[in-house]
Amino acid sequence: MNWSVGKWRAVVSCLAMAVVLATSCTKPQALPDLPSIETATFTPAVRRQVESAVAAVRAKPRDAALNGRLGMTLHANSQFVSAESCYRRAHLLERSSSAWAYYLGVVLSEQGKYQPAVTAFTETLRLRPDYLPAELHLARDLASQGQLPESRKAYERILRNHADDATAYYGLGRVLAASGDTEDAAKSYQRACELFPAYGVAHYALAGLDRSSGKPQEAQKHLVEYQRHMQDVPPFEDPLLSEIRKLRTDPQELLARSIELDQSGKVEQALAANEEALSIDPRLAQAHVNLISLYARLGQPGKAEDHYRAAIAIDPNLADAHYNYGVLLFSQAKRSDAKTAFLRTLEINPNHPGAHNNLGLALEQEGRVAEAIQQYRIAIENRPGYRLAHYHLGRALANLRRYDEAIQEFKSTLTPEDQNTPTYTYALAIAYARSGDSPAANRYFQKAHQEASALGQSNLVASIENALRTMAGSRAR
Amino acid sequence: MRGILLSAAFVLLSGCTHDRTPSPEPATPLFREVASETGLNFQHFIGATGEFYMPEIMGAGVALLDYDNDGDLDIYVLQGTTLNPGGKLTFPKPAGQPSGNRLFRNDLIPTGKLHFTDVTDTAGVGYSGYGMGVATGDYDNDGFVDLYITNFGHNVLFHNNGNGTFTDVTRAAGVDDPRWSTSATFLDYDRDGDLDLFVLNYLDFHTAGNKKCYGPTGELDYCSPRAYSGVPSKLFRNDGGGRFTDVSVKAGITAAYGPGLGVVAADFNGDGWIDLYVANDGAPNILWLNRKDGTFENTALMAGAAYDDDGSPKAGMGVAAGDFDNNGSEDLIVLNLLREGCSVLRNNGKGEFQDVALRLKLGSATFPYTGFGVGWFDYDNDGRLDLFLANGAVTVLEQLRGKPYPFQQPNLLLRNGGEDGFSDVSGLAGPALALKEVSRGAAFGDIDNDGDIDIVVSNNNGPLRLLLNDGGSRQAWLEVSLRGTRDNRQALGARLAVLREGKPTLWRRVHTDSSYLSASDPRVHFGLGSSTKAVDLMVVWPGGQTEYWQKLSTGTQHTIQQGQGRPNAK
Repeated sequence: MNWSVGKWRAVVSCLAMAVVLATSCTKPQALPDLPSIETATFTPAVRRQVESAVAAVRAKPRDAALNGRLGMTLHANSQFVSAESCYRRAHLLERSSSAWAYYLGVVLSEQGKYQPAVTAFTETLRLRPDYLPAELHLARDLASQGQLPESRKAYERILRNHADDATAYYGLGRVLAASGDTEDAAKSYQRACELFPAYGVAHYALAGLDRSSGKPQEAQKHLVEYQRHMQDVPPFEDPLLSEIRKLRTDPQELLARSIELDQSGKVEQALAANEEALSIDPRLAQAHVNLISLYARLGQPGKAEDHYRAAIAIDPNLADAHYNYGVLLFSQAKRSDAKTAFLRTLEINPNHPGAHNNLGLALEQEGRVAEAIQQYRIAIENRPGYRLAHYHLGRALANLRRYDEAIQEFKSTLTPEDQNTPTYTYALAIAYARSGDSPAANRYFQKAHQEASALGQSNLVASIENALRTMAGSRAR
Repeated sequence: MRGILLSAAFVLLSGCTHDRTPSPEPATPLFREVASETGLNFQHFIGATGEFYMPEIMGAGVALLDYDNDGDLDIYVLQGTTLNPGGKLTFPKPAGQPSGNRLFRNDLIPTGKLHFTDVTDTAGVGYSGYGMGVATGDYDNDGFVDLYITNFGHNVLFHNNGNGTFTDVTRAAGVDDPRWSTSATFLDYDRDGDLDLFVLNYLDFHTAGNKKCYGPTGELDYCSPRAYSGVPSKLFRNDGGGRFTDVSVKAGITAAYGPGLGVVAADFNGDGWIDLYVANDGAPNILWLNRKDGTFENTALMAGAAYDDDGSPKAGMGVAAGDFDNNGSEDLIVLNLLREGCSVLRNNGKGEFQDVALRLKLGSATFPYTGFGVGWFDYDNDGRLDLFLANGAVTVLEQLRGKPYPFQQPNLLLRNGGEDGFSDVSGLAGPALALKEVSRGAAFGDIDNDGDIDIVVSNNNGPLRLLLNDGGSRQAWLEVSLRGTRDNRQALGARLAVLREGKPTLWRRVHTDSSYLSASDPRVHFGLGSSTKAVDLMVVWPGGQTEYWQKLSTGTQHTIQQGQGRPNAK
């Protein structure tokens, strides 16, 4: 191995800095060694960040703030084992700082070292008795290590000073439930839900208690709330942890966040998260893949194409890059190119449901209906419940006058009930009408009409009314 | 108060580790690792070439089965291969390790000595693919157990010819699935007397579309399942005559799916029909309740079995069902990812569950580990089901970064202390439990026929391990093999109860599934504590018929045939 200057920088070994600190008023304590951190595989941004923090500590090894800052940097990058050593050093060097004790507790907790985490949070609260996040951590970690009565007391102590803290009520509910006190647990969860009605997991917990106490309907109601608010938790301020978040450069987290933002319809924010991820790590092909779709949906095909080129320059075998690009091309009516992109997708991932579905559409438009039907079926086999594929298959079958089969496919599109349901119901009604089953057709036209009206889909309502008039006219003749 | 705070500060400052609490070494360790000395020389090969293909880290399973019906358990092990032929191997194939899966015959009977002989070539079961899982079951009721092998690629059904050889009958039987299959189980879901087959699929990963994934500091690492999409499972109905029909859509089991890794078949709601529980990796788990008409309904959400007690989906891998609280119903344990802790779902007898991991002190015990193979088993024959967990990370462990294979973690032995919850007794188990490897599959059974349960563990990119239980048989026990006549020959799915005066009835079931990618001993084992008195036994056959046997002597194995018991207790 060539031990170049870079390599020496990469392997940050601070063993020489292990010094004994003998200034404690109670007992002399040795400073733990700084961790040896192999940074060679880190992204440049993370490496720079860590190496800069390490260099600062090397210059002033007994500076608590610098040791703590290195701990925070490592903590921000999920390096909990290394961060633990740094926080220990910082705390030993500056016993009056509640922050180092708190951060130490947090990283211990992240590693499942609950007993020492409890000690660290206890120390935090000795130094800063009013720091609510430490109180909550302490209560939770007491429960995690099985000290349920102590945890209960800790939560009750919090609630004496913070009577409107939904998080504490939820935590207390968990402890009470684990202790077998389901009645009080239910009251505690209930209070959490009153304080924060969108508290998904508290609803989930309540559903469990309602179910076990023979109240399935109540349980069902809470499960509905849970599913609506799975990710929602009460707002929570933790200024110390916010400092860690500011240091976070993990692009994977940005990618994960971008997916959540996209799923909740926040397309522009999702786009920004992907761009930020790329600014940290330009190798992130997945960010380019996401951006193809996001820019396409924002009506910026040029940028979408740029990201397609960038993605396949990193890795030509990214199935989703070809797929997203195919969708973009299809929307631009470049059907032949789109088909090529979908075929390329399937070379890489023969089970890609979206590619099979869209290839089916392209084939159908070329008049190759039998092949299109085959593609729709493969799409469904690989993603059962794939509404769009069921719809296209139903439509293709109806065009072949295979109405019984078409009706089965359209029926598969009726759930879940959302803004698309009226359109699918309408398609089912048409299939019934064409098959000659007027009563069923009428029933589904009426259903589609109600659904579309309720959602304010005026164009669809007009189409349905037109179809109903046509059907009535046919009957009259 | 001041004294308490000072004391606390001392603990904080003096540091800590996450090493297990030291336990006094017993005179004889509970388990002894004897693979090599008994001829079980097998090294798993992952074929890695630096591409970080996901199958390389997901491991392979192992089966315990008596393929030659000689009365002792033989061992079948799955093997990997390289997915990048021509690439430079990160870990070269071990010298002397043949390619493909291996079958080891146990020579305990007739030699009296525990020793294994590799009979793969003679038996014709050395399939060379990227092996994942194995399910065992006598699907044609001919009295010889058959093998179903799942792969990253095509699956294989080996029919046991009854003469020490097997035949690949996959095509004729119609049970292939070319996708990435993981765990599988044989079950008689329609109660027609023959075994059907449920096969889990994982992700739509293909080597051509391998994605580059990175750890939190940016190093190349194995992807999480979120990088790909889950693939639906398959249910094959046994039509007899060696033919199966894919009834996945008709049975409704495509209505919900995720990246499936673990599956267990048992009657969870006590209605006498076999249900299925599926552990998904990073997605809600699925409870398929049998609707008795050939279809299943996923009731996991309403039954409290989809998520942990905090309402979150976890990275479900291995799963096992067993009556750990001796209340007569099948409880579940699901092993999850590092920093998630396991889920322990206590069944109220109606197929409704509550996660009690926190209460049983199992959440904290398992929090630092990524768990795969798992089994409820009574290692000390005290009548309570304990736990063994096979662990090993799937992404680079911070503390091992820079090491050649930074995924090793120790396995766990957890003792059931009843109301006191579970305690980690790994420290008492001897050097076998001190090993840090990348364990995946685990199969459970009485390999040396001495009345306690032994464990065979498959390690990813590591050696097969045989953990011989040296302590359990100090207490009383009973082992039972069932022979179905109207029901499936192995009576998979039957429930057995040892009726004890003044003590809770012990319920166990006949199964080979549970754990991760593995198959266990179908014989039913009961630990009976200090009582060596003969016991009464109740059998509820898979078809619903109940029979009783009285005064079965303990400390021995019994074979019980359907139709030869009494119709009632007295």
